[in-house]
Amino acid sequence: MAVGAWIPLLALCAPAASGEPLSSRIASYAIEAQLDADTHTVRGRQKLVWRNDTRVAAPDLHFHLYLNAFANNRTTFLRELVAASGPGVLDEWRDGWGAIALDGVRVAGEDLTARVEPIHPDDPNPDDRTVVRLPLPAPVPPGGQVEVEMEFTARLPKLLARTGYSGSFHFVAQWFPKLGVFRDGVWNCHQFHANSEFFADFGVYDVSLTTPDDYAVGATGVLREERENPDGTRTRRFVAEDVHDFAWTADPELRTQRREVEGLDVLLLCHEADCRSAERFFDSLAHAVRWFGEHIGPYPYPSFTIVVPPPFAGAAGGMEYPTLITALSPRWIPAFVRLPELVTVHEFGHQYWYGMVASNEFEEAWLDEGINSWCEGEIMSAAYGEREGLLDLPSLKIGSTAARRGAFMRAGGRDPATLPSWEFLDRRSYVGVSYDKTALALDSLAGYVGHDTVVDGLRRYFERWRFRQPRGGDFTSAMTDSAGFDLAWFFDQTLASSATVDYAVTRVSSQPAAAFAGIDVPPQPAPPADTYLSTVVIERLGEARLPVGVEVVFDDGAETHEKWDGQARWRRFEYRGTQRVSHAEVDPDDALPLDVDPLNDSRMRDPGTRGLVRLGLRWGFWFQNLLHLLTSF
Amino acid sequence: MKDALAAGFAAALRRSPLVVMLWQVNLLFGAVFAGLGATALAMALDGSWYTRSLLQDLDATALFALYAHHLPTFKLLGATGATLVVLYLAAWVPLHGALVASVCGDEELGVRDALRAGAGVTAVFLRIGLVALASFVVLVGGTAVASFVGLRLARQAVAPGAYQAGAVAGAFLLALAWVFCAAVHDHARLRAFLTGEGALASYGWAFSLVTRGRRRAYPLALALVGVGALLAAFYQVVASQIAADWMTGVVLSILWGQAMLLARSLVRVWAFAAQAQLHDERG
Repeated sequence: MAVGAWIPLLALCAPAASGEPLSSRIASYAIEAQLDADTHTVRGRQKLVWRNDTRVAAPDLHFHLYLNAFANNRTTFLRELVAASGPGVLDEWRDGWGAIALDGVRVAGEDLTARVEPIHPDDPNPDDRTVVRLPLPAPVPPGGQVEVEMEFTARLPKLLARTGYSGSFHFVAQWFPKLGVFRDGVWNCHQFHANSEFFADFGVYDVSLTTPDDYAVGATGVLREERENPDGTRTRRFVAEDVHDFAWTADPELRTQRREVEGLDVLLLCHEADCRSAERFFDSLAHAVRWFGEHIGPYPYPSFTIVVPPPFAGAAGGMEYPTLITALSPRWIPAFVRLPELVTVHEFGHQYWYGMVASNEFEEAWLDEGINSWCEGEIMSAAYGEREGLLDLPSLKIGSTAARRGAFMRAGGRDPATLPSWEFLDRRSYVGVSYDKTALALDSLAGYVGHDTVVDGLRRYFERWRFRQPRGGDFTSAMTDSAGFDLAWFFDQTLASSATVDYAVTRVSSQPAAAFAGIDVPPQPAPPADTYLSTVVIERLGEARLPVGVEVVFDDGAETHEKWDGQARWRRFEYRGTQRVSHAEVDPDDALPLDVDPLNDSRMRDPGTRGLVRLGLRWGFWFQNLLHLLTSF
Repeated sequence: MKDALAAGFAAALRRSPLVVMLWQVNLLFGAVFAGLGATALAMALDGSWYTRSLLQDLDATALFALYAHHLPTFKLLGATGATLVVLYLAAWVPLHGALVASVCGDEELGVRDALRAGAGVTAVFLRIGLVALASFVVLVGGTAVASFVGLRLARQAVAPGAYQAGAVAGAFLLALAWVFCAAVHDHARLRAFLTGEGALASYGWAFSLVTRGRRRAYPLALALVGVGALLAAFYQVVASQIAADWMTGVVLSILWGQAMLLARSLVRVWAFAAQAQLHDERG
């Protein structure tokens, strides 16, 4: 069907808007799109209104054509993905190509389609067509605006990452020609990378979606209109104000459940088998809404949608879009493994860190992923327990911080958090640093300046930058203001550097204090009997120099606490007394979880055996069972 | 089948010295691995507080750190464990001979005599083992490949849940294939001992016995596996009540675990004794 046949009025419509704007609404879209479910193709037509909010005239416009990342095996996205995950990642994906074609581009009635040219701001890859440049007939002056009409055909890929289809399930994201961000006279419009996410201006999205009549649909924003069409399709019009992206899902198998959660109108879309666990989503969401409302600020949008991709479409899961998230199917995950809850909490958190505080995910992923991971840990710990927030088995419990430390230790600290997302060594390093190290840095900061100070700093950051586009320095400024003193030394070492934090207790010894012997000075009184000289040595094995606490425990249970600024390579503490040192521990309160090796944080004068006995015997028992199993064949 | 189960159980009880000996062999290997594991752990923890605190608190952070920083140590432990497995399997060739000799003999043999008789069939049992391994690889491997292909197809399927249903069905098929191969292997050893036939002939006879459903050999094997599963479930129910975060609890837990392993050794003897009831050649 020709686009023009079913959207005759689009060109006349400006994006709808109502109410007091929360954002500057720089880029607004009116889109009409129709899904052909058989060919997994979306044909669309959009009208973009862009206002030049800078002091520099814009001679051209730069657009993301994200779907072209799936167009061939040489795109920057797929090259990076294969490099990170191996060529096997595409095995099942054969024939799953997706792409977006611009069928028409007009500005002020002038057809500019032929002028559109691909550009490559990040690498010289000629096979990548994820960014195009549209030269304008006349520059857009500061304060001026331009209206661009576009027709496009988006062929959805098989689900590989975030967007596409699997069977009748469609998750449609990064699907329309999307404008980059004009900053300081330059377009910030990066190619689509395997690790990177997104960056865009706020605006109003007025989107009409036409799908087969029996398809359930969920989308960013609020459903304003719905109508049946004579051709067996149904059109739904969604409007989202003060957002910077629009995603939607369509599938005849999706069921809907609507619930008010902490005063928020929540729509859950899931397959029958997943809907049986609906409470897991609603409960965890309630914890997240409450925590953010109490600690950061209110959720300002009128609705929120959770889409649960079925397990065979898991590649669409765990992703955030304005007022809509994709969750993790709980179908095969028992209640004591709280991954569906964690994903729900995490993605809701992105409504704040990404959705409202719209930092550049391409260039500073830590700003949204890391801060959000920290908030996610706070919520999971408060809701489900600090030690068992993630896994709650009788004999083994894993909390958020432990899991994060594990992930960071495994990833290693090879990259600073402040790298652009596509410049990390690999995906493990990207996730381990952007998500986990940043969150651990905030944990460590909380250990230094206090938990409430960090929360206060986050609130300041949110209040200053909601519906705007902050950079890393804006976050550290908010934290510094909250702490009341300069924290540059902290962030320079933990986020802007790949320096590792590793303190170790390397010596614990106690010896009887010797009586004076010699001739050069007058004889001293003999020390009392049973006096010991105990020595504890703390070493800084990593490059980062952070203050750290030390706990020294004596045989009678007495404790003494020391502080060390961590500047030198090592520090010796000596004690004289009737009690010998039993053991010593750096960072006894786990206030510095950035420390990469907790095993060397403590040392006993005489090593214990009970822990070894427990684990050794347990391993021996498991081994016996394995042997029994093998000889049963 | 009920008669075989009952007679087999009674025969296994009468062979309690053999049961204890089999459990002791298992315990010996377990103790060696436990000692190696504790040594590796002691090296990795290097006198840290965790050498004590892991008793009360199985701290996930410590476990993650062990994985992140001491993986080579535990890979070495794994390699040592693999070597122990090979030694154990080798030791069990004559032990299976002793077991079969014990349950097939006209008179109840003492452990020494059973071991001596078992040593005599080591060569043929080894050959049967190789045949069994080959057929196991073919059958279970084929089941695994079929399951894998089915899963790949299901991944592309429109039907929701087809992938998961395929995974469950594949796992179930694999378990059935395992029990089938084990039953054939057991009957082949019994046949070889009783008739003196070679490995291929015995295995072929046993394969026919189990495949054709004669004398309900496969249901009997499944019933014995069911007994083992019930035993494991009972163990788990009791074990979950023992808090192993204090030394007495650890000792109780290990003792209860050894009791379960002793019972499993009994079930192993029971399995052979019951399956021997299906052999006419038995005196």
